[in-house]
Amino acid sequence: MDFDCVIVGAGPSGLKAGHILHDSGHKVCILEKEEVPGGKLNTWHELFPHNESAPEVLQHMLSDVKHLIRTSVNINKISRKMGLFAVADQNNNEYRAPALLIATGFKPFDARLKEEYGYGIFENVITSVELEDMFRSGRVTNSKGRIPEKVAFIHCVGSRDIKVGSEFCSANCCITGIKQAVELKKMIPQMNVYCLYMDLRLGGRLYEYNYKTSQTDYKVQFIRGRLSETNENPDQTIVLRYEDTLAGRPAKITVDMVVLLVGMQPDQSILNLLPDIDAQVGVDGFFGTGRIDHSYRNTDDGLFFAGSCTGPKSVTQSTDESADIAHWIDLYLKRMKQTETPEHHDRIWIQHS
Amino acid sequence: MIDQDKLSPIYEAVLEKVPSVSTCISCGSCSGTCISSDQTGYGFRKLVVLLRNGKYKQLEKALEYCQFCGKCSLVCPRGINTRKAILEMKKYLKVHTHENI
Repeated sequence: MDFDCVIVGAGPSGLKAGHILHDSGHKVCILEKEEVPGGKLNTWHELFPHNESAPEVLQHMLSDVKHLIRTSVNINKISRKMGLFAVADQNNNEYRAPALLIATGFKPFDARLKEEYGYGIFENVITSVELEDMFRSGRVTNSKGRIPEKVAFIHCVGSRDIKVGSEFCSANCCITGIKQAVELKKMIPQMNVYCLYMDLRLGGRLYEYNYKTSQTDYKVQFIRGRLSETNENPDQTIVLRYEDTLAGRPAKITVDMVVLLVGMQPDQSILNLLPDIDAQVGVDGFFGTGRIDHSYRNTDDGLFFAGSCTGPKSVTQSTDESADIAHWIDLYLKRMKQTETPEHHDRIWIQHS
Repeated sequence: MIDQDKLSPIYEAVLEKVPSVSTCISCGSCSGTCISSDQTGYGFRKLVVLLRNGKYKQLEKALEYCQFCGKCSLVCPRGINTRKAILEMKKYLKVHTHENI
């Protein structure tokens, strides 16, 4: 099957790029390994910072799609012949295109690696992904099926931590924690919710507003101190040990449930299929160079990257980058088709009267 | 009062031997896991603060509580070689207190 652009990954960035490229008159196909498109959006209940319903957002994204999406595709091989990428799947279908967009996204940090936090050992230590699952099912319960009275969110799990090999900040867990803390308080107002943080990095639009609202309207309690270790009591409550670094004293707190705000890890599974992109993998394991200058950002051989495979991103940041990359793919394809490269493309950004 | 105009020669000396000390982000993991912090109120994070601010007398007292168990180095997210840093602090403090700094 021949296309103009094959996109790997039907998450927010893959869908956005597909939609734009299709509208620009290119023949697009998105390959998705899961049974349904949407990527990580399928694992969310509500999205920060506006608490929009994730299924609704996804539904709107999908309603834009007028091109082919192949789901349950496991890519076996990617090769390049005569300027065409050939992507072969498990059924030996071959998808050929001059442009290949990698939008494979991220994977959540495996919290078991942070052994001292007790994930996988103590039942009441869960991850933010599992809490989001509970929100989607409409019921938040601890290991005994009861509604927890005290919940602690642990920031920076698998982020900024040399001991687990990821030294970067995942950028989205702080706001995720605040969003989930507020969701919990909305659900069960009498619950005591704590956030154990070392720095709160709320650099997105309205993030700081959400932080403040969580304090003023929802009484979420913030403790400055990174969790050192967890222990389990016989009744399966969890004791957290940390230093309250503002008081300058070691401290402990007993809670019914611990939520680990797991970071975003680069999903490198596609790397084995694309050995020649090694040069485009950064020290943090994310793809691409991340430079501002597009001449460094985009390869000139038809291979493009967009979304959270190029660094930790929110949904909006992913789709924004995708729209930008779609523009470069559009130019690349036009050049390949040897049509006249338009000096001024048809989108007018600023109109002077 | 902390006088940031004054230099801390021992901090500089320790940094030379254990450069990773400069990467401390004051997260408090070390103090939270420390076996003696509960009794003394000191953890590695606080030692670095005292060292940086030139509070050598207090630092010398605080260093006596360290049992060299190494738990702080296990949990440190920045991978600071805390034990070596403490040994260096002790070494320089000994020399400098004789010089009456």
